[in-house]
This record gives sequence, C-alpha cells and structure tokens, in this order.
Amino acid sequence: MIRLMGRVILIMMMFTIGVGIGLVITWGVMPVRLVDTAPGTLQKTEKDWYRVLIAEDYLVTADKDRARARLLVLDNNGAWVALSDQVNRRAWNRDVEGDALTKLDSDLSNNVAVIPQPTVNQITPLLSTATNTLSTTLLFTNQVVTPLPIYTLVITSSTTPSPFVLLGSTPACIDGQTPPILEITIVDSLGKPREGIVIVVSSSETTERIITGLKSGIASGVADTIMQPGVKYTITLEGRSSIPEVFMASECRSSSGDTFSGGWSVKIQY
Amino acid sequence: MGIFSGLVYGWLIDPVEYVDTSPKSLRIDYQTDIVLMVASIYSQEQDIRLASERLSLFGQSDLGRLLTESLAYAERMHFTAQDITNIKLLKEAVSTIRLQGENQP
Repeated sequence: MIRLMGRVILIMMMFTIGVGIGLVITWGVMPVRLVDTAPGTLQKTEKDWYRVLIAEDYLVTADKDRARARLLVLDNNGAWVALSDQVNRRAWNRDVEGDALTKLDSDLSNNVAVIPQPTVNQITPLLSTATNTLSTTLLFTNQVVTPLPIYTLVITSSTTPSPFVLLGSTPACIDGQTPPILEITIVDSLGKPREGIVIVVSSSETTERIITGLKSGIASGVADTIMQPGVKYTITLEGRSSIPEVFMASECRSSSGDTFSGGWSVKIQY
Repeated sequence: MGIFSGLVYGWLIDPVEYVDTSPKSLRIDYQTDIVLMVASIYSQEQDIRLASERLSLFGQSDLGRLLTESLAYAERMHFTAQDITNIKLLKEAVSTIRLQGENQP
C-alpha cells in the first residue's frame, strides 16, 4: 500500500515537473514568436503616435482617402471615435501635431455618416447568391407628411463571417505594362469603394497582404500587386469566408500581333 | 507526458498573448507605410532630426535596415515614383546623419 502510494506520488511529481518544463519552454525559452503583426495590436501610446503620423502626413498630402484607410487599419471599429478621443485627450507632443490631429478629425467628421464600417453590410447584396450572416440594415424612409427622414436601424448578428462576392474580372491587357498587375477593387453592397480592407494574395511561393486605399496614385478602394506569368494566385479577404478566387496572368495580344502577359482587373463586393 | 501537456497548454490552450505590441513587430507593408508617412512629412519639413525622432520607436540600430527594406518593398509593390523618391531621400538623409555621427570624435 505504502509502495503504491509512493509510486502515485512519484508519478504526480514527475508529471508536475514535466508540465513545469513544458511551460518554461513555451513561455520562456521558445514562446510564440511575434512577427507580422497589424497596427491594431499596438499599445495605446503607439497608436497615438501612429495617428499623429497619419494626421501630419494628411497635412502634407491632403489625401483624405488614404488617411481614412490608415485610420481604419489602426482601429477597425471606432476609428473616428479613437481619433476624436485622442484630440480630446490632447495626446500629442508638439502643437503642430495637435493642429494636424484636429484638422484631420474635423475634415473626416463630416463624412463619418456615409462611411460604411467594416462590419456593416446592406442586407440585400448586389448578387443574389451572397448571403450575409452578419448583417446590419440601415433603412432610410422618406415620409411625405414629415420633412425629416426616419432612420430605422435593425441589427442581427451571428458569429459566421460573411462571404465576399466576386462581381467581375477582366484581363488587363496594357501593352508595355511589365510585369502584369493584379488590380483588385473592393466595393460595398452599394457599390461604393471600401478602404482599409486587407486582401490576401497567395501563390505557391509568396503571400502578400495588400490594403485598399493605402497606396497613392490609385483610386480609393483599390489595391494592386504584381503577377508573375505562369503562377497561380488566390485571392481571399481577411476575415471573410469564401472560396478563394484563382487567377493567372492573362494572355494578351498586342496590335502588332505579338503575345504578352497581361494582368487582371478584379472587382469584389465586401 | 508532463512535458507534452505543458507544451500543449503553453502553445495551444493558453499561449503568451501579445496585445500591446511594438512597431518593430509590424508586418513589412505596415512598416513601409509608416516610413512612407515619415518620408512624406520629411519632404515638406526637411528636418531630419524630427524625422529620426518619428522613427525612434523602431530603434536607432534597426533604422538603416528598416529604410532599406521599406524602399525595396515600395519598389517591388510599384509605389508611385513620388513615394519612392521620398523614401529614398529620407534614407539618404538618415545615412548622412549617421555617417556624420560616426565620424565625429
């Protein structure tokens, strides 16, 4: 009996020591490596610093779409609230930073009502095949007897992410465009461009994450990446469940009859 | 058995959670965007001290690598010529300042 008890205690001690060694390895020696994070995970003070940069860049470029996309990347939900909060907290080091933040807050606040938030979807998608399980419906009803519109907000939610819908894709045969470009436009259910959407473009060799509205020189709601001829690329949207769309560089023919590799222009409903 | 349980618990069930990360751990596209913003502001202000200060969260020792990688990413992703020029100018200015710092007795 005593021998049995001794064995049990020994086994329990060995197990405990083993668990301890395991935790030392996982939490101390080889913890989960932290790479490739997104701005949304930054500390609060560093998010403030990021917003200051966005605002100061906005002062220089006056690119409202880009500033908006950057704010959405930083705070997916509540980007405008976070900006206003920082202005109210006066969380800046120099007066010029405060001026930049205040201007950006002021310039964007007029547009907040019409900017679709990332989790908001119209209940009726452009394509009837799409079914949104996480949906918010904003109904605007103009009544004849009263001059003011009535806004009815109906919210239903589920944990399943909504699928995205491929609205169309056309080969982009631009002679002399080397290498070919995969251009992706993201729109909401009303057809308006969506900024700050993370698109994952993967091939057998690489995985690129591109964000709509972040790159200057292209329209808002658009992101692009280069394609290698003969390589298959799959497109998915971060946080969306849908069958990935697959593309390869298109075959194009120039006016002189020569063939060359072209890109694609793809339109997706978020 | 115990070690295995510890590994499963530590890596899968309750791994170390990182919520307050630093800019150094950001993905290269986000890092490049930060560099681009600083470069854009620098193109207007021409104040390399302020530009370095803005990038100080990345650490002075990594600044050269950050600028080099960001420039390579911007070129690979076909950023506009203006954006690439701004990053190049910032990179050159930072290199010059660092060289001057190293040459001072």
